[in-house]
Amino acid sequence: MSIVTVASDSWSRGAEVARKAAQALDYRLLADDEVLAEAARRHGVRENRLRQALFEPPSLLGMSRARRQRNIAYLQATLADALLEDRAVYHGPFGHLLLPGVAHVIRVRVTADQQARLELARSRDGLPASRARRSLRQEERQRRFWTAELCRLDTDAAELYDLVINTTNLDVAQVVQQIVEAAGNRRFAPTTYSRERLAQLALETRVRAALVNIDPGVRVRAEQGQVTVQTVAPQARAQRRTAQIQEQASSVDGVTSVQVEVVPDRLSDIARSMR
Amino acid sequence: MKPSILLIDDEPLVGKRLKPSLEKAGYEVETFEDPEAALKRAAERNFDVVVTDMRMEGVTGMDVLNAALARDAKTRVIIITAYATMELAREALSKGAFEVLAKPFSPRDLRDAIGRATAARGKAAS
Repeated sequence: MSIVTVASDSWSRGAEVARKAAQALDYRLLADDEVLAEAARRHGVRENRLRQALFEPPSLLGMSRARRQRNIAYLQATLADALLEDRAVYHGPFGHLLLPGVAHVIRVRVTADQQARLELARSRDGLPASRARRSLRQEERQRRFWTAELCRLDTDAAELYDLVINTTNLDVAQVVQQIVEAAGNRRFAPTTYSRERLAQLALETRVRAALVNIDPGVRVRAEQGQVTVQTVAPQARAQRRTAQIQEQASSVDGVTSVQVEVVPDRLSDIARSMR
Repeated sequence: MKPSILLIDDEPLVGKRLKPSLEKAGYEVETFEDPEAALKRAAERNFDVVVTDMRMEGVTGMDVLNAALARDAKTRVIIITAYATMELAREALSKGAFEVLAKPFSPRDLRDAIGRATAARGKAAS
């Protein structure tokens, strides 16, 4: 069975769509709150920090890039682990970006015309139009940032989604029906290859989550338990960095061997040589 | 009657390595390195399961898939490839492939996939 990720624009009825799609498919529903709570528990971080990393657009006085990278690594690892068993619907803003290349993940985007969204903001949440518009602009900035940050694409790039649904002129049942039909399409069935790809991603993200305190920008590749880690460090620290990463990565469940590639931090090396 | 498997891969080691293991598991196995010869054989008789490499000289795994299903829609076709991608997996499934395995895979992974394929056909290895 497949996995469905539903990324929805605010006030487009995405949460209701995800819930009813899970019911119709007899899949478990995984919501952002659960992923955030579990990530906070596993990695010993505060849930509001994870929420901030995910939902607040970057700003000069806001969360540092390094801290944001760490928090996203924790979220990604938690989400990949949670979806190792398929038959799930995940409702969250960036599921389609956090699970790249897995053929049995159906990436759905739920949106609506701006006027319909503003009207729902007013009727459901009592938000005046001016505040709702500000919220939509903030959300858009955030979406653009994360899409560019995680996959170097524009947020509206067609290749990010398998199904884009505008709910303005459809009722929820019709939207759910489209998702159910997609889930029944053979092309989205799990295969040995796609399950292994998800397991590989889960291991890569687990290892990365274990290493981001050493280097927030660390890159990890895994193949059947064999892990290659790429890190940037000044030459003087290369040996110590390698040893730290070896020790930390080897302790992650599922890792059978660790190879570390240290990319020279040229700027630091030059600065050091000028002292 | 043993379930029959047609195994096609232009890399000689693949057939040499997998055939004994599959025969021991109770299957009747024919292997081909020449995909053109394999297509001719597939046109002569039905096989329960066809296991085919994707990238071969002159004939692709998709050609084999199309030919196998055209002859017998109940044939289960398993694609094996060193160049697996999300797009390729989805395309193969949409055209009727039963499974996609990325190389390198263990003989056990292939046996498991074939086991599911023969079960789907209502046959089991003896």
